[in-house]
Amino acid sequence: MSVLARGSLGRYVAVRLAATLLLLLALSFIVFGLLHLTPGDPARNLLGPKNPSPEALEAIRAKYHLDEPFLRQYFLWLGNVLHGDFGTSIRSDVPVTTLLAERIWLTFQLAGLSFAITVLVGVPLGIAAAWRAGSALDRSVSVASIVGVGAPSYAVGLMLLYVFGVWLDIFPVYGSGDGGLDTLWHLVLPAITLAFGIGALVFKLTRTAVLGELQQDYVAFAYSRGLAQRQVRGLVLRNALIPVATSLGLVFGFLFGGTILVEVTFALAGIGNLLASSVTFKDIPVVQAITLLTALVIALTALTVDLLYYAVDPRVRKRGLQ
Amino acid sequence: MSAPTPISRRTVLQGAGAGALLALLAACGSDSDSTSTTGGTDGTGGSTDTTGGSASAQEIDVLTVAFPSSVSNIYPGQEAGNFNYYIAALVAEGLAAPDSSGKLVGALAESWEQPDPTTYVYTLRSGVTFSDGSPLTADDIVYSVGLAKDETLSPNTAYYWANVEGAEKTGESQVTITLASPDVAFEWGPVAANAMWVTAERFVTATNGEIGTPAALFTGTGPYKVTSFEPDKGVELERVDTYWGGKAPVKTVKIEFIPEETTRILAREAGDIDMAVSISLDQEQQWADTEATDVLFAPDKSYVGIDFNTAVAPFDDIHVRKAIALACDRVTYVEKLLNGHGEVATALTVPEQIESVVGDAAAARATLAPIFDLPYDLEAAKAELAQSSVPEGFTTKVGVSTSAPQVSQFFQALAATVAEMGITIEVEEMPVEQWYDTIGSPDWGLAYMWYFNATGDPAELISWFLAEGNPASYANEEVAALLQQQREEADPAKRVELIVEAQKIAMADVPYVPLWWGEAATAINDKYTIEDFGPYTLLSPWTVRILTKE
Repeated sequence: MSVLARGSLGRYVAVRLAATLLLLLALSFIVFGLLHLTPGDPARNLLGPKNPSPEALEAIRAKYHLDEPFLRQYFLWLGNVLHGDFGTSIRSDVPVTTLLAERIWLTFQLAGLSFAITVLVGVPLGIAAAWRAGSALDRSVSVASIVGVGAPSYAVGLMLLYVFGVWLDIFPVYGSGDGGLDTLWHLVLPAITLAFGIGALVFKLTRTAVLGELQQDYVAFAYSRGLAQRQVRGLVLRNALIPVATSLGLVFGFLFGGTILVEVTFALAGIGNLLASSVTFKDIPVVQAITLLTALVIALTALTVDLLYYAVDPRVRKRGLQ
Repeated sequence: MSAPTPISRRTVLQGAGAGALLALLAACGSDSDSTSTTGGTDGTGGSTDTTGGSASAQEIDVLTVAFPSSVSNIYPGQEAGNFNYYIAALVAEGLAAPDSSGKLVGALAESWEQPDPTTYVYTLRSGVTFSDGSPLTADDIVYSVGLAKDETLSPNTAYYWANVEGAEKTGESQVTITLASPDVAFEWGPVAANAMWVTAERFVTATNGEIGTPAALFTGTGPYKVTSFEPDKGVELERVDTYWGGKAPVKTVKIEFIPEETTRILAREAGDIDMAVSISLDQEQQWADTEATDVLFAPDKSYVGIDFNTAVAPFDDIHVRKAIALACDRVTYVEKLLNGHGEVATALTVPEQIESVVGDAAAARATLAPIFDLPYDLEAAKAELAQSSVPEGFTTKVGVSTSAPQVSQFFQALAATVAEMGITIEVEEMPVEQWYDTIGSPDWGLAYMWYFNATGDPAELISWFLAEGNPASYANEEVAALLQQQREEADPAKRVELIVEAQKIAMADVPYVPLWWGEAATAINDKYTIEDFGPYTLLSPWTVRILTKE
């Protein structure tokens, strides 16, 4: 890598990070505003359906600055965040950072395991189906993938639970276990559920990319030069997998941000489950933190993917990242 | 007390296919059978016959109980959903507690007396210790009153203590509580089923003023201590062997939060849980069909009814309110929408709140029956509407929580009935939190209430629904005078008369339409049963009553 290229890469990363920060800032304002506009009053939610005493409502509103004008509330929140203070959950009276720290690792493990399943199943099947396009294998996996994309994840989850949790009694039915391997064991069914739809997409993407590459002129040329099938396939794969690899970054972001239904179905205490309850409760500090965190994870994976692109594709290295 | 089982997240998931899917899966399963029995209710409330034979208190190592939604704080002063109460009932106590008939008996107080209408003197039980072994003192009671009264630390109970001037240690084991003005309902204040959980100041100081959070937990004098609490995951409790009430049969109680009802059924099917509280009536049959599982029903002291905002047109017109009330086929709703698990409500007070005063379940119902007795009569409804300001009908909307599917079905049935009178009711489903906002709002002339009574006090709901600031914007001087009178009436029988009289007068104006008094269902491993399972069971140390069948 030349000195010039390295310099431009550094600048590129800096610009991307700055853009990410701006994006997060804008997002925080939009989410704050939308939550503010939705009906409901967090102070009232805390008290439930009973005769709310005006004093109690007032005390709660004052404690969480809910009695301040909208913009002032936002800037109070922003000011605290810039000092590393994400506030306190209105619903549970626990600091948001503590609340997230307890849960984020579980959601990461779930998304990670699901990602591994997606890649290890979706990509090889896609390649195999493309090699034997039109074969029984290709057709059956393609049909299955349509079902996979279409099936609602909670229905898939319940089906897996019944078959593997109750009937065959192999996997646990709910919860996240006692940590370590036990937790991973508990996460197998949720991870498969989560991987179902997106795995089908990855399969289709891989199959299309490999098929597209197989139709390129250089393939016919390579065969005519007398290269062995194994060598030709190596060439094809190298080219075909570039778009696949880069899309996988988005897949991880999608998995990380899409755990809500699966976490609720399998009773997992991750951030998806927390987000689901916090949105309806209007627990603003918690919703803000989770949306920003999810956006950050997605932005950082996208950046990593682009850098990966840079590393694996000589054409991009030559042209430079835009 | 609190939200109608806040299960909005679960209901989000309940697509139309969920039940069908489960039925299909159950049909495929080889080990499903329907030999299990569903505990029946006697239909008149009170406790349910749950024992299929003889059962006794035997040592149970671990009892796993699934709740349908998580709690985020285990101190009900902070968060007061039903499930917060069920957990706190195992950990902490008040001065008094309801027995199975709803009558208050001593808990941490051995006895109490009332030398004058505003003074209550409690004599503490001796030999009571906290779960860490330290003794309970009168100072702890005084601190706990202050805690329950504190608007920031206990926003959910502060309102109950607003009329309390203070608590004072008046003897080594005596505490005197003074009220600003007489209110006989106060007896239900220092009760763990309602508004007080005794702890000690040092426990709260040790956790930097945090109470009930996963880091702070909560320490009381109850038969269990919390060993771990993770929101959205569960709570683990360990038996306290020094509990003054004796050793509980269950050593470890694991409470798991499982929001998806079908997952909960499968967890029972797999034998992973022993018990599930507040099961969904929609899936009652699937629970009953689950292997080795009994379903127990008991009245839960809940009231469901229509609220009219009498300050909002056209509901400011009594003929409109009467027309809608007469169009409510309450008998059919209870039969079809609740599968008979509930009964037609005739008052704001629930029968379990007067049973111990008037004698028995039948007498309680007879006493409340004349309060609201508009029978279903479509012709009479049409006649009322014809006399109203909107004889041709009108269009209105109602907001219904997704956690209350039966209420949504009720309004849809009502909408179909009143459509032929020219009345259009649009049913809008919304998260439970948004529904709170419809209560008493001028934007929602037609609304409903699903209220869980926390206490056995017959004036609990009317102290809100007929008092100033009520959601119907209803005002009546005669009713207000009777409300004031009952607050000061020391004779329970006379007080019930006043409470009934106030409701009779008010309900003649139809600001509310009582629909039904509900029942809660609990599923349990059929090798166990719950002794004397009734409306107050889960609000007292309930694991103490788990019996093992012979």
